[in-house]
Amino acid sequence: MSNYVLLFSKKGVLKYTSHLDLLRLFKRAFRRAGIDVAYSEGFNPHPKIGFAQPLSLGYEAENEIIEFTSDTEYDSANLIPALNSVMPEGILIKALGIIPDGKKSSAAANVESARYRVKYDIPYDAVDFDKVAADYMAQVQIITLKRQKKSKQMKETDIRPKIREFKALRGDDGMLEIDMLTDCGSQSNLSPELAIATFGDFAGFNFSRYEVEVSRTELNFPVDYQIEWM
Amino acid sequence: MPQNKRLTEEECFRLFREYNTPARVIAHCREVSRVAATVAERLNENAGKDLDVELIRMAALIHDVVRTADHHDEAAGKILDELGYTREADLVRHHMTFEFHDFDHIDETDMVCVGDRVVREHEYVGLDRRVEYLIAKDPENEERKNHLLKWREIIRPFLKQIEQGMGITFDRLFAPSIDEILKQVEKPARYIGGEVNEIVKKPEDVSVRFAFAFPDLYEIGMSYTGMQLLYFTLNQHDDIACERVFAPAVDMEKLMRTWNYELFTLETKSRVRDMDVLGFTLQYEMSFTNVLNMIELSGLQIRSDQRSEEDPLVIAGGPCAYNPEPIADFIDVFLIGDGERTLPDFLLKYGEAKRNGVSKADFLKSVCSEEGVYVPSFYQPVYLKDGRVAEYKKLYEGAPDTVKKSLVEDIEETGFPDKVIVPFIETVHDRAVVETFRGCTRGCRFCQAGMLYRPIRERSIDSIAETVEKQIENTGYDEVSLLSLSTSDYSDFEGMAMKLLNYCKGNHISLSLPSLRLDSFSFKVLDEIQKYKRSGLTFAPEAGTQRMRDVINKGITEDDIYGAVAEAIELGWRHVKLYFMIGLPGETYEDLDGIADVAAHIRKIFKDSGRKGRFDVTVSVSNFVPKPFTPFQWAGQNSAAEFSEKHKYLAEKLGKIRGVRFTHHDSLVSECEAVLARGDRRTGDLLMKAHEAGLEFDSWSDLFNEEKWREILNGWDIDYKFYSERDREYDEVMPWDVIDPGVTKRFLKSENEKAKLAATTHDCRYGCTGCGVMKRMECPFGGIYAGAKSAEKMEVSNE
Repeated sequence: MSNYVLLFSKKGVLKYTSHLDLLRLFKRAFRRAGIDVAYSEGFNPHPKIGFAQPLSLGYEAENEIIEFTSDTEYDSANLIPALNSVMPEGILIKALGIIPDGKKSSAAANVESARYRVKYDIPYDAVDFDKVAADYMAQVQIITLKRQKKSKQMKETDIRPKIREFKALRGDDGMLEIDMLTDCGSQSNLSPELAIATFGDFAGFNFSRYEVEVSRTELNFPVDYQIEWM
Repeated sequence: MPQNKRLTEEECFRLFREYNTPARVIAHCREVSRVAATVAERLNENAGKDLDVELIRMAALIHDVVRTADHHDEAAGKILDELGYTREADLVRHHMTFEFHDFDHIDETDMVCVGDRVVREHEYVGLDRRVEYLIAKDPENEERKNHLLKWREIIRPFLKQIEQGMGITFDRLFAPSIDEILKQVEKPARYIGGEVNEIVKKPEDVSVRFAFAFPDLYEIGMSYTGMQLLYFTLNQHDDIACERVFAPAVDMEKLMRTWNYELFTLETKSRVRDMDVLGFTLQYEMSFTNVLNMIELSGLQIRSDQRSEEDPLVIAGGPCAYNPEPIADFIDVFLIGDGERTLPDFLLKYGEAKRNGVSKADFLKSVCSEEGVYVPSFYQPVYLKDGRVAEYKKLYEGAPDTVKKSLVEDIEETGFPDKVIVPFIETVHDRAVVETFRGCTRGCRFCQAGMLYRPIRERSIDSIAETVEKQIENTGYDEVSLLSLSTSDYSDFEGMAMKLLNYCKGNHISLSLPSLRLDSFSFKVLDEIQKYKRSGLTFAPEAGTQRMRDVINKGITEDDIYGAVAEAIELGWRHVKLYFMIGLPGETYEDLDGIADVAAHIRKIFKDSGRKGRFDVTVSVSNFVPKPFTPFQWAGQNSAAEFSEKHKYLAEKLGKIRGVRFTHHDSLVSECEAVLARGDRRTGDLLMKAHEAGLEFDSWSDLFNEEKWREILNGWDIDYKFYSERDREYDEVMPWDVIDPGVTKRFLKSENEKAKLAATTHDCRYGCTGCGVMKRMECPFGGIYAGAKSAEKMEVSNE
């Protein structure tokens, strides 16, 4: 029995599918591709497939991960093409990794931070955005309202400690892009929406939320073992 | 000072930085620039103008560089002049106060001003929405408001001239992209297509393009197996492209209407208007307003007689097409019966006729005598003084007297898709589906499907099993459901169930068996496929007393019900749902008491079983709606008030029983449904009024607008109760008499007479009951059990 990690991208109209949609999509794709996935024991066996931190509806992603367990030996040559051939346009499997035997802790559960690329429809050169971004980060606190999970009440929260990096970049089309690294995972998590909203206010934008494109470019999951990527 | 220097984008950006132009102002300038330059380009191309597009682009981009300064237009002009951008300076100076030239002398300054007048913040919104927005900013200021309104009317004719010059309206030219629209709506995946197993064909590669429309949301339509069956059957033909279209949800529709977005197909995002044929499946009457709305959203005239030769042919089929009259004003052709038989040929013929320049009317004449084809414009209803139908006058000699439903004699031959489209989002029935047989032999007297789909036609076990396996392989689903009107009536149900169970068990597939007969074998199967009884069991006694069950010919007894419930409890089920109908012909309050008695007795069975814990009984009551081509087609329906009275009565009775939950359908919805089910051609006016009042999604309890429906029903010049509550005589001409479903009127009458005596008719597998469909084809299962003892049992569903 081996544990595998798949690295994949999610683009195009597939960004309009939710986390649960994606979970279903993968389960079905495994079955269509004839990939042997182990099932859990018990009354209601389900395939051992696991996702990392959910990706919001509307976001694209470059390097998402999904884990699965199988009794069959797979390598990138026999798995990746098989899976890609049954995927809808928008999902691309990029790499297969093997978690060494005996390592119980999953990669997905260890996600700690995520990098996002946020695209705005305003030229990078029209404003000194390097400075705006630096000033945004130089704030001691970035206070915003966040809905509490249990009480559903809005509560003030400081998101500054959860933003690790925040840089303005000039995109390929000359437009402003923000590259940010934030906490992401079960330990500490920042919804990128809060950073996007506070930065928008800070920079004096009045773009509607739907005018901003977001892509999750990287998930970091430090583990105490070496994943063998193929 | 250098003259005629040209401003560049880099220079604009430098100036923005130098003058600290706020980001939101820059965003505004960019949109004005885009709009102004695009309009200028269009006028150059289309109206022979010679506008300097780059000058316009740059002047517009820089026009608000010092937006926050006093007299910002003059200030910006001065800055540009000093840098030597004199022409740009000139345009910028005038962007606030300029009075437009007339169209013949239009110049670059006009373009910048036009751009500025139709952009709000950083978005094109058009003149009206911009003025509305400006007024809303300071609504109390009457003087300013009047000034803005005055200006709006001065500018409007000028913009109209520009639109004529461009050959396109501003709204169309600057409509947001579909991606921008999708980002603003709920469940955008409803509109994207691209699912696994979708079939996309290039328009130029086919000879006819068909938009298959389901008049409800994506999640509902995609759960309808008939659509998947026809989709794959049609797309098998190289010459046919079948694409899907669903009713946009309310939020999407609002945006579509705002931006004049026309309804489009999921496969190629083609406008429905550009397809050759638009076809609706009519599954339930309360989707009719959506049909009208979808025709309108396609940019077409709703009434057939107002559509042109260039517009797609609008067709419809499905069970509600058996009484086509209420919706006949809006549909060019109805295809009655099994669609997989008539539709491919019909579409190919239409494609050919269209290519050959044959008019729609001539085409319809050429096909109207074919099986299943009903062309409403060839028939004119004539009414008696009292409002009943006197006759149908033929307007075209060649039209048939009656239209026979089309009938696939061997459903194995037309096949069943070995794949289905797998939606991205969760739908109502999100699973593989295989039809096991079509038709039903039981003869319940309220059931329209049981009459319309006769005779029984089965698929073989081997082909069912093969299709199940292929569908699972091709879709990746982990659940498969069998489709028929009564699963365990399949002639070798045990053989089929065992074969499928074996396959499913070995492959982690769950098997869903709707409407099982509750005998010991069914329980064995249910117990096998449902190890834990999460979903509960659904029983459909339909009526509360034996007398009433005999009236409707639901061939089950109290012992059947209670025996089945006892067994279900024994096997561990803890939730039982019971379906009943009220308002059935000849119903008394004793029959309602019977419903409560059944619920109470079931609770008692649980108590007597000595088992502990929860045991829930849900009593779900629907209001009887008499349907065409059933033995009850002559029956008057209860009034909405009577239904409500009965609901109250039941609520009180059932409320006294612990552990019983009571739900019921809305009375007015059932009344509307009855009007639309048995309406005649005049009912089209009612539908049109409902549509004009904005009514849609009437089958959604949260969207059904009771108040407006009441208003429309009461404001109609015909008494709607004429259609719903009136008892008909046997000699009355029914609006649907022009359709011949195979089952004869004589049979329906005799069944209705037997109902009055509470006399039952046996399942016709035990001997032919003479329904009349034998005239059409040899009935393969009629009388196959003749001589055997009837073993009808309660039906149950594990869903």
